[in-house]
Amino acid sequence: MTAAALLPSILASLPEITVVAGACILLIVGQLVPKGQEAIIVWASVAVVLFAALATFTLSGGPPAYAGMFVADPFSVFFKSLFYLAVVLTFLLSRNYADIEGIGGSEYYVLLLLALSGMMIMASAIDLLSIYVGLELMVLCTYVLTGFLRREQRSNEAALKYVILGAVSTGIFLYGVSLVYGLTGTTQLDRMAAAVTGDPLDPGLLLAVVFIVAGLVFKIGAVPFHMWVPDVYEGAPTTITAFMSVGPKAASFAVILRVFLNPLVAGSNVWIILAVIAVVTMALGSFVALVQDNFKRLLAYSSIAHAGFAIFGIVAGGADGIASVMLYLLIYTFMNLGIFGAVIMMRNGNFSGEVIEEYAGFAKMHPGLALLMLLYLFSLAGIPPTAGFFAKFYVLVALVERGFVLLAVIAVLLSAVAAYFYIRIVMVMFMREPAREFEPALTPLVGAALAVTAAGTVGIGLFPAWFLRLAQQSAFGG
Amino acid sequence: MTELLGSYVPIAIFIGIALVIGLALLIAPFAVAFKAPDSEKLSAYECGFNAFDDARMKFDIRFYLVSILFIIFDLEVAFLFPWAVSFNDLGWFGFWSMMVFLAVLTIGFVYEWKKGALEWN
Repeated sequence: MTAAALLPSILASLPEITVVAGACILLIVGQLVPKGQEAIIVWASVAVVLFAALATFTLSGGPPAYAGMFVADPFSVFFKSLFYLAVVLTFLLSRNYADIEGIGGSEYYVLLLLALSGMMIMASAIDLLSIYVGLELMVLCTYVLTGFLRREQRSNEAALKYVILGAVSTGIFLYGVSLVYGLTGTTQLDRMAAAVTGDPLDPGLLLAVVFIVAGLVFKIGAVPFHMWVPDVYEGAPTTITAFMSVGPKAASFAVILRVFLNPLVAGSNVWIILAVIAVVTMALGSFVALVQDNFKRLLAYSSIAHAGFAIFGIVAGGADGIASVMLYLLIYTFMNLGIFGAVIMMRNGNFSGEVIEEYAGFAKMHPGLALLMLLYLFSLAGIPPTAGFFAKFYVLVALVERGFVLLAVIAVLLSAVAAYFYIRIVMVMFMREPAREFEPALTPLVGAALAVTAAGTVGIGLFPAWFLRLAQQSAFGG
Repeated sequence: MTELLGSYVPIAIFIGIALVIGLALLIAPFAVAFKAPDSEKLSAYECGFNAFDDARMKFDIRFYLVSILFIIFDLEVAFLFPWAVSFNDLGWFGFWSMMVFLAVLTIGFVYEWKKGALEWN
């Protein structure tokens, strides 16, 4: 590679370079910071993300870099903005929680930054190999973060399960990639489609696509690759659960959108597989969540159900389908980080905040906070005028416009099932008498994070068309 | 065809010599070695652990740490050799690529040193 070709590549990937370099510097600086001064690390991490965001917005556009493996197009800018939002909110929520749980040290923030860089590479990757590199960078960090509560057995168990299952799924994905390379002679998404001249239902190609689908679908926790989600979400530190449910999930969706809207995959009738996955995922997530007592497990099944709903948008495909999935992920980031922020806030003293029954009478003691949780829960259930309603609405519109009326009906019926378990929490909070005192750890940072998520949940609900246009323009480089 | 197979002759010679040396080292001790067997010498060699024991035993985490560090720096050397051999063809791009790689490794090294992973007491 010559110097002339290298410079545009470095400029295109400057946000990623900023994040990785920042993480490396913080790793060393974190060892020199005296005890009790850890707040510096949090603010430095936020600063790194803000620098990266600045670089993203100023340097986007331009042709593919690194010999066609990487591109900084509007699509990637949309997803990177979503990641920045998710990571900064996670930083804000983590500060106090980390003290309570005794997760000291800068490593926590450094690993989050490295996971962020992996997600950013995934959003920009247009080659199966760069997708793989970004994917591995992201999941390796989340494996470690899942096991960060070293002294807690659940956390260790979750991390071990996650590593083993994650490694298997990555292996399956990589096998699919190698099959694609063997059949088409390239790993670039654009050239793959051009290299296929024969029947798109060639069994070898179909096998390759199925392997890639299986590997990617695992990462978003869709049925039949959902087994790890409840255990990992329950065992991981709640801040990391919150992060995993929005960041890595959105990154995997970004890759799925890029891969699945490729003519090669789109031509192989893969939407039938996706439609089945979507229906089964939503059904399982919604029905199993009905019987959960643990708040984090319930949110894990809720995130499975939401992943299923978002897959419906991919099934619809086309301009509206992609934009609806992107908007769905943005709205989901706000409302899910909001409800997780509330659960994280409740973790104080000997109150775990994980058992739903323990929230009995919360509204009587803290009506403001209970109303905030009500907002997030209604949004997750998809009740207008919150943002969650419009997330579901645009996916359904895309489905109906493509003629998938039956799928749209199934999606609506299953989200009615899902609404029940969100509203059950509301019932527990508002209809019961309080049995105990609550001391939510509402620090200014947690308050700021809750304010941002509430503003997003309400704001997108009030101006959905503006955000939909943003997603549409990002999807098609407008 | 003979030309193609002919190009494998050096490999055949190499395998032959390797076989001879291997067999010689295997057989020679029977003929020339001094024999004084005891139970320690006759037991299977198992990297410092007892060969027949409960597999679920505790051992010092530092063994694990040292072996991981060894693998990392061993791989670094394995990566440096081909780079050094083809250095003339790689030019400045190759040089700076390796420098970035080494810088990242150095950061990891400084971190583990600072963390006390290299102390053994």
